[in-house]
Amino acid sequence: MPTLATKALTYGYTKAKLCLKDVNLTINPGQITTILGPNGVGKSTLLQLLCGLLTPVRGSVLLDHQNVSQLPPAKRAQAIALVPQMTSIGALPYTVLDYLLLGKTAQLGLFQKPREADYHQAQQVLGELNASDLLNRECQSLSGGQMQLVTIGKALMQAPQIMLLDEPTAALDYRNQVQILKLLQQLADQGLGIVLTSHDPNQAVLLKHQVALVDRTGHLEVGDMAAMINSEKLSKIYGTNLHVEYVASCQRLVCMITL
Amino acid sequence: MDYRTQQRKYHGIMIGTFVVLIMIFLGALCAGRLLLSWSDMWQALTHPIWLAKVPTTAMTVIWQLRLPRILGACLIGFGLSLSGGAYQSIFQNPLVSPDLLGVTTGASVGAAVAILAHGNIIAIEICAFVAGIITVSLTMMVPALLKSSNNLTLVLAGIVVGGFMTAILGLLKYLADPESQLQDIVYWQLGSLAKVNYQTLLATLPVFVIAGGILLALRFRLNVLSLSPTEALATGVNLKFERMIVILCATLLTAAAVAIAGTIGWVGLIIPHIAKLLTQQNNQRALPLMGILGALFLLLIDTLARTLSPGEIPLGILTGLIGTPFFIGILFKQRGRL
Repeated sequence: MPTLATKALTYGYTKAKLCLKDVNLTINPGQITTILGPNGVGKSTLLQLLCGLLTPVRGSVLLDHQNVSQLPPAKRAQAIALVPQMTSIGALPYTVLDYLLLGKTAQLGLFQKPREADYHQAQQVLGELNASDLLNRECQSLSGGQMQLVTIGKALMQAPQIMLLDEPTAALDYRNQVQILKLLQQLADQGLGIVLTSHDPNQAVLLKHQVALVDRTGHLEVGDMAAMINSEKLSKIYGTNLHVEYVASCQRLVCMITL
Repeated sequence: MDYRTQQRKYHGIMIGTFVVLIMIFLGALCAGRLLLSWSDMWQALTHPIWLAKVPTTAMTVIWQLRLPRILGACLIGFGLSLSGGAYQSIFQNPLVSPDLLGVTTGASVGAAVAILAHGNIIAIEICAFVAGIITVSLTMMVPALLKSSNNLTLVLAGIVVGGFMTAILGLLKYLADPESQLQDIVYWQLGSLAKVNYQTLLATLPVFVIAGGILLALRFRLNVLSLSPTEALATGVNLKFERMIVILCATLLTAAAVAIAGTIGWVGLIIPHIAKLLTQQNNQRALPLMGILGALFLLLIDTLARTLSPGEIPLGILTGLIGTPFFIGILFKQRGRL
């Protein structure tokens, strides 16, 4: 499994205004990285840079030793899968099966179409997500949680080594949040490198591993969960009073907002 | 539904549609002002006119008049339908078609320029294609400039650019020689299969085969290209390149159709929707069906156009009568997303 790393990555949508500055982040196989930070600091932008959809102004993103933005699209998608926050799944008239098969694109030539084996893979992926009953449903008829599961399923069809997820639990109820977080843990146990953005520090606590904090100036600080999740750091990053405390009954740190 | 059942069902639909197409094809050979019996038609069809020393009336009617026209209807229906389906996928917009994007009008401007310059069918075809590409680029520019991805913006852009092209066509008609050229240009604008002959068919056949073949080969890619740009890119698509190929092929098909029969509306909107309805919206299965259904539909319409009344009803009237309520139906289904 390859390692994805950024070297002094700098990016801005306009040359004058940079939103990410000198970002150094390493994503190892089997490791989960939770990116936290206020709205609009460039968390989603960072994910798009990590999978080569955007080209850095300075610095680079390396997949082992290859520059990601110079890889051919199919090659890139075979290694890295992105689950964007705003997907078109709810607007598409396809069935879940047909939607999942779109994930095979990177493995297929320009004129090829999915084969019978790919249909079986789609069934298998849905099985792993405990959602086999969705196979012939229309995407538009799914609930928010089911849509998120199927979107992750499509990314899994790419058979990636690294998976990037943009706020995978946003707009999901608690049960669905737990299901997605458990799924990410499973995938990491299988050796995938996982990166997700989130608005809830509690998720970073639950997922343990690595936490990256992006502040309003576009700088990124990365470290172990235990070192990163504390009242002082989070309050500073979010610009409001946050209280982090060990709660014995939960056997973990809990992050609370105060008014 | 498992893979094999789905495939069986799909093959059933394809074969069924193809059989109906063949039946209408043979029926169309019989129908017309000179009504031929089944056996007369078959007799004439199995004896090519070029081999006969003394051609019978039936042979002349079948080989000189009806067959080229019927083949033309099938090719144009096939082309317009595929082209509409392709545009709908890459623009992620169920409301577009070659005519609604202004491409057909643009292509007729090109054809009119070629007629004014006394060009042959090949020149007409090339001019139609170039003007078609210019039109589709102009239409695509409007939503980009407005930074709007709304479905209706693209349709409005198509209407605006199409209106501009209509004005240019009017100017060309004004400048045309009323004795000879004006008539030809008006014919293009109305859309009719009456002037299709083997020469024009032969000149456009390679376009239908190659551009249609490429779109059919890319049919799974069309599914991927219907995703939002970020998702399509993340899935491993070479977005700009593949979109460009699809637009080129779809515009080529429209231009070839315009070059032989002028502007025929609605086919490229209605048929893709029907084909998608029958195949769970999946382009991979819908596109081949679109081709066959398009051929079937236009052949049926053209046969009605030349048999319903003693004179000939222009095609645009019939497709418009069917197309308009259909478009309102799609708008109604889309109302939540406009």
